[in-house]
Amino acid sequence: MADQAQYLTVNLAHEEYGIDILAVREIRGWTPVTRIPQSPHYVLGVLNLRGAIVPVIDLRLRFGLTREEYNATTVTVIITVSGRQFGVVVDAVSDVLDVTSDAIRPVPDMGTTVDTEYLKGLTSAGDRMVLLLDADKLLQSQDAQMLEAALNAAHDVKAVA
Amino acid sequence: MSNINIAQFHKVFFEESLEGLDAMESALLALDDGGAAELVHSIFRAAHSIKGGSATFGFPDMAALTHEAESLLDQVRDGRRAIDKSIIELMLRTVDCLRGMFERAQAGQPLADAQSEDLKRQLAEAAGHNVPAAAGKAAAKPAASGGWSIQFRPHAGMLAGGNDPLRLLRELAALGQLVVEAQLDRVPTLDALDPSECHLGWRIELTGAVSREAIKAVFEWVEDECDLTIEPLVVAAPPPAPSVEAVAVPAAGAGAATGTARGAAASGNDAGSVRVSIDKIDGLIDLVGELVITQAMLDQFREDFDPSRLAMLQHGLAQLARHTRSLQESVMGIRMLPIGSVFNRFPRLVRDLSQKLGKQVKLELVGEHTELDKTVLEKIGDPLVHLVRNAIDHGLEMPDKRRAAGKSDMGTLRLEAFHRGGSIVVEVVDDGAGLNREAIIAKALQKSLISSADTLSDEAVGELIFQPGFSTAAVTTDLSGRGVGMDVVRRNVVDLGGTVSINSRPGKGTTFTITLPLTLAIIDGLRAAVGEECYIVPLVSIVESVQLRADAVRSVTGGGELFRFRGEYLPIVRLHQQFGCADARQNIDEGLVIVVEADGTQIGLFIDELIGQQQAVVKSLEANYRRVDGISGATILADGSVALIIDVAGLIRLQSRRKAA
Repeated sequence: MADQAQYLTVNLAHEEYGIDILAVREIRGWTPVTRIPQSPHYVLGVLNLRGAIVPVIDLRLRFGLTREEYNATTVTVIITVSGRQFGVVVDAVSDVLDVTSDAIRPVPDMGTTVDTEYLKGLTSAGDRMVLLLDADKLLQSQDAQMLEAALNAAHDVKAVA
Repeated sequence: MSNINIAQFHKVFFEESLEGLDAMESALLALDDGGAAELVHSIFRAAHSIKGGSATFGFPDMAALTHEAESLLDQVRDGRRAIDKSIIELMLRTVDCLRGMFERAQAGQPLADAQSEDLKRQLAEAAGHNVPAAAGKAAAKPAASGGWSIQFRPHAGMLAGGNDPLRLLRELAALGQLVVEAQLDRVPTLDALDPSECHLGWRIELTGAVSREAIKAVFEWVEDECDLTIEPLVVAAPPPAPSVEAVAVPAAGAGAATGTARGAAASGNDAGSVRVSIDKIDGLIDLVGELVITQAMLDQFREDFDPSRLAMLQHGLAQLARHTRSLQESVMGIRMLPIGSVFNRFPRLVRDLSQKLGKQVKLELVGEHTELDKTVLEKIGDPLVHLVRNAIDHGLEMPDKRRAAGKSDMGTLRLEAFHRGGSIVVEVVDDGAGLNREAIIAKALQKSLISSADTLSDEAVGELIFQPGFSTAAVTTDLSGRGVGMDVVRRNVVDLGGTVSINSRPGKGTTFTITLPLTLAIIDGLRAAVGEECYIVPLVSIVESVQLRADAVRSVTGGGELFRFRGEYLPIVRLHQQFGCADARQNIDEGLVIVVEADGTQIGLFIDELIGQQQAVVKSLEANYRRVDGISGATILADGSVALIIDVAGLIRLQSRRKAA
């Protein structure tokens, strides 16, 4: 039998995204945050999560979409990835899905509004399509991203040669 | 039993064992100075706990080595041989080797290496040499005898320790054929019988080719909780003392317990836990009690409040503030550990170094009970080691030179810690030759660090040795002289928010003074408003705040702004520009300039206004995010929101970098 995992699905610009539920620490309503200077535009700031200073990113801005007015359904999903916590602001949370690993399809390299590097794959729930997020990659420092890009480029060069 | 993952206990085992090793080491060093016999017992207990633990947790190599050490110690303990320098040296090397093994165990590497095997052999030889007869007999016994007669008498409290005699008997039965005879002579009458105590004893005859070690291994954990005699079965007369394993340690389990307690007292180990004295915890509980009482008192006002009781309410609130403050101080105190745990490593270091160099050094430790924040404590060890090494290698002279200079042969090295104001001062003082001014200047000229030697003050010469790559040692030894050292010392101390200074008198000696902040966890700060945002400026770095007239500011080419402050021109950093804050005041005369200082440089920070003073508990931004230039951390304000703490030194660095660019 294939591995089964649960995903929390969230709404973002009329699309549905899945976050591995084991990485989700809590869901809380939107509260104002303290801005951090010299940060990427998608990092809204930091909030006080019971004494821990936790950065919050806006998933719309992260994916290059326009920022929505925050309203009553806007929530912050607190995610823990490899010991680090961060918050992700999304339009709304919707559901919890059981997904077996053989139901996850690779992401075709087109069509979605989101850069495919943040996606693990996609799956369907009924007639809806759910994009599964790779939470590890959401809050990487730009240095790490640049380094990774450079490494990939180096690999490509090697492959060509 | 088998489904318990034993690896989860490894961390605790490592921690306790390393403490045990520290205890062994300090006891050995004390023995070296002519200490009492009680020290041998504590060394033995520490070794014994480590041996038992390592066997249980699956580190047979470690257990084998400690076993040999223990055998040797056993002979010393029983008075069968006198302790001498060679044994102490051997034991110290064993301690080092075991430390190495623990490090490898933590890294998951194989434990045994050539050194440990070599040591094991040397220990066995040392144990064998002095008592050749006993060793010979021990080797001959298992082969000669067809079995063993075992007298096993548990102490009354053994069951309470979770040890079941039946289990031991079953284990013995697995070794060979067993004839067991219970001894009922100590069983009391029914009315006096306590069923939770063990009153039985056993006489056991075990036949089969079994080694004494195998039998002892069965009784490993109850050794301290029973009277045990193991004799070869066929020998009619009882063998001499060496083979009698009657261990009469009073109070069941006390052996292991005192071993660890001693270790704890001797060293607050660096691993991720803090040992807190009961006194501190009791103090906390008292304070919490007070707080609860105050809260109950304030609660009354909720029920029915009338203005006539306003004074009482104010009194209650004042009390609440006072208790909160003391609670805060006490809780911070938990992070404070005595510097003795760092000082403890030096007797050994000094002993080894002075032997190696042929110098005579007396080490004085003063103020070991001075308490420091745990984070500071962890990081101050290495710089101190550097300073002590330097003092012995470069500072103190050889005995003949000292005699020629009219000093005693024995050089003195003093490590002293004490409080001064809001800081901790650690001094490393030697009575050696002092800095060699000529050599340092020559070296500095050679490295073109300075252009001429004429105008240099003694302080400036002292400063030179903190330059990277600076060493005047003619020959590089494995101790020091490679030129990495003093600059690293300074950097480490500065990273902790402290300073290092040097004071040297030719022929009299050198004093290094390290000044450290008491704690890194709480700072006093002023809240500064910039636009809609609020930042905390550490109070220690604030010199003054001034309101400038618009015409007091000079613009310089390149976009910088300067203002005149006490006869000097200081650059202005506009915080709203630096941090990109919206809606901030733009005109100099509408806001405030606070003059801040770090590393001897001053700048003016332009902000909107100061809101007030507050204590800030420093939280890390890096724990979940990353470092941000000009920000040293974050704190939580009274309303639960987050405010960022300004890194003044970082801002000044940014400013000078911009100037350079």
